[in-house]
Amino acid sequence: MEVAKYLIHVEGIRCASCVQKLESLPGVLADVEACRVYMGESLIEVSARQSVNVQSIISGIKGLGFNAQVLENKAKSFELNKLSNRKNLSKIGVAGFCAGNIMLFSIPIYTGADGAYKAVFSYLSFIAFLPLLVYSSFDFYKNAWSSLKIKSLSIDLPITVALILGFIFSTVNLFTGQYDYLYYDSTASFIFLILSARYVLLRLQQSFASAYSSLELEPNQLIKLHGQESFKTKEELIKGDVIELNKGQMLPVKSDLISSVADWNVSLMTGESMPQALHLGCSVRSGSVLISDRANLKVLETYKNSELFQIISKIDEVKTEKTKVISLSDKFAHVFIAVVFGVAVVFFLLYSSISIFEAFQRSLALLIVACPCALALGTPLAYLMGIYKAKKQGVLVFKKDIFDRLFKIKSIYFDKTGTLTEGVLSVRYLFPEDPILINIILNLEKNSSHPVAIAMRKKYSKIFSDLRINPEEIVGTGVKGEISGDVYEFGKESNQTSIRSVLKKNGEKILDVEFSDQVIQGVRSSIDSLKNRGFDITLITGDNVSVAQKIAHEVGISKILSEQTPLLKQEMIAKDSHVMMVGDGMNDVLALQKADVSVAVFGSVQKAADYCDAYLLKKGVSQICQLFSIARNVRSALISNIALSVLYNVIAGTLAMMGYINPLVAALLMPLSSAAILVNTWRYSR
Amino acid sequence: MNILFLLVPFAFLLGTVFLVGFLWANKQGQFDDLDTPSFRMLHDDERKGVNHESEL
Repeated sequence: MEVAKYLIHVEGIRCASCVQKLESLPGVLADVEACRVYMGESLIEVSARQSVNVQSIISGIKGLGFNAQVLENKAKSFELNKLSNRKNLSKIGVAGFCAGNIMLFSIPIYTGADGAYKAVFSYLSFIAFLPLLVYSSFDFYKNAWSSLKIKSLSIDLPITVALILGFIFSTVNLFTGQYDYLYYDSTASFIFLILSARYVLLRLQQSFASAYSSLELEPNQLIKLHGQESFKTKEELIKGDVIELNKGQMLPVKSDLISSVADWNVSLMTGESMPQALHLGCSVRSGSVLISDRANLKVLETYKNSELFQIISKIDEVKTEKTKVISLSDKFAHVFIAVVFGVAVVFFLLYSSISIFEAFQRSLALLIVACPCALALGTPLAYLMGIYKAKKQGVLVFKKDIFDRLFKIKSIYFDKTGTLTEGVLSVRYLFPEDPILINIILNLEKNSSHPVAIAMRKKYSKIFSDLRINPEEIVGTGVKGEISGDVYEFGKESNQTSIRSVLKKNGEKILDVEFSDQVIQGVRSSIDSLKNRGFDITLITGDNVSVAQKIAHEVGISKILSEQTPLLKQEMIAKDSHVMMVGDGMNDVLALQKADVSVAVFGSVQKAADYCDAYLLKKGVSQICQLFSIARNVRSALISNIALSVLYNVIAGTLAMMGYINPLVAALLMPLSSAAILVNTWRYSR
Repeated sequence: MNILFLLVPFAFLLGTVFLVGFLWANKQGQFDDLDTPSFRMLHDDERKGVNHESEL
């Protein structure tokens, strides 16, 4: 029997009973073979019979009271991450074992073992160093080599140089019997430290990568052909097919409406918050979601030619071709490598006239102790501090170089719907506030998934009591129903910036309601403080001018770009330089990819969350200011770490050239500098 | 001091045993997830089909 594995994101796994409930899934669903919870990642891995439909598993999990989503493309990368994590951990284990043993063997050497004992312990150190050199440090060589190939200097290069030179130098001394000049211990412990720091950083980032609440784009649904009992997938649709859509289904291809008027939610592609009522004969865009009960349509194109497919495929092909900012530490590493090698060569040439052997010994010692361990450790630690701090404030940072990129940002573009506003309608004004009339409205709208109905339910669900009426939809306008002989109608009186609805009793207006997509609380003050920091702020939206202007006025943004298609948005972003884009929808994804820094807000669609650098865990955009503060913090930590490592290198380098550096001094100095970096970074974390 | 020739290899061997143990556990996926197992051990009723990597 074929078994398929699914990776499913589950929200809210917090306690033992959640784990227990989820892992008892095989007892609940017959087709599920096994289920394993990964709490840190908010993921569960489900093995089930290949024949079973994923959606039935999802509904099974929802039945247990969890919100779940299949991560279609993540299963493979999750598996790969797991394997590479194990590999890295093995390397750290071996490095730790080697470093620990070498340190133990070094103690007798430093404390005055002599003769045969000294030789034995020295050779033992040598043997213990080999696995670390060959196995654990392999990635350093690989990175150094690939950075050399593209002619850039990465921090792994000086590490490799120090490691290999240290090994050769110590080994030559070992075989020539000069046991006082072995650097195995300090090199080994340093490698162990760096490997560990990098591993922790990586694991932390991985655990974020799946921890957002994701809205999967349209699951692969089947579309019913009108008048037949047969179904087609969206790829199988051809021009001329007549299809039937039900409430909540998405139209994958552009089609002509051949049934009577229907309401459509077009926000996926345009960001427009108001539903559109389209009449018989209108063409409906691909990506529109049906709000009315049913609609019949005549297909105009194949899925491959649809706007929806174009955008989705474009998103997938671009991947991340972001301009790579050379991080501060990399820049410094360039200078550092040049200076250290320069000094070593010059010193060798000058000193070789006095004694070639001494000149050789001392310049090698310089290269080894000057290994930028402080720097190699300082960078991941500073990023780690930033990522932790961001998490505490409710921002998940997916890419660690965001801190470097944030520093260049000059302008910020905000999407409107769902980013600055709630993205759903809410009741703005209702008069008269009569509970009996409100209850009538709630009853009329009880079966509707129209945004107006949702808004009413959200606000007044408490006063609902069932009047047992049979509401009838007046498609495109509203609903009507009869209550004890009186005909009630609830329908819209639409204008551009808001939706106004009225309740009519036997044709006479008795109640007014106004709905709007409201600005999230606190957005205005966030925008103000961003403005105070000197950022150029623009509102970019697919919505129409008047709505855009109203919202922009409300939050205090003066620059507006309205009626932007997804492609236009991308163009606008690409034109500007040093931009941050903040968005949430499918129509923002292309723009998010092009921006120097992209931030997805709470409730973003999956694709937006996939391609952003950071994800906000709370509604609103207040955390963006904090993100900038954290970036500044990280930068200060980096700079002071670099300053410390320069100080260390100047002192250690001078001592080396003067001939004072021997293995004991190196063994003391190198960890001391690492400890200084640790303490310094910790200072900034508070 | 001759005892060293017994003790040092013995210490080395002991270390190696622990290292091999660690590598084995790592390969079995014992360190893949550090959060859930502390909750999983609190289950007290019988569970069928929980996918322990080590049983694969």
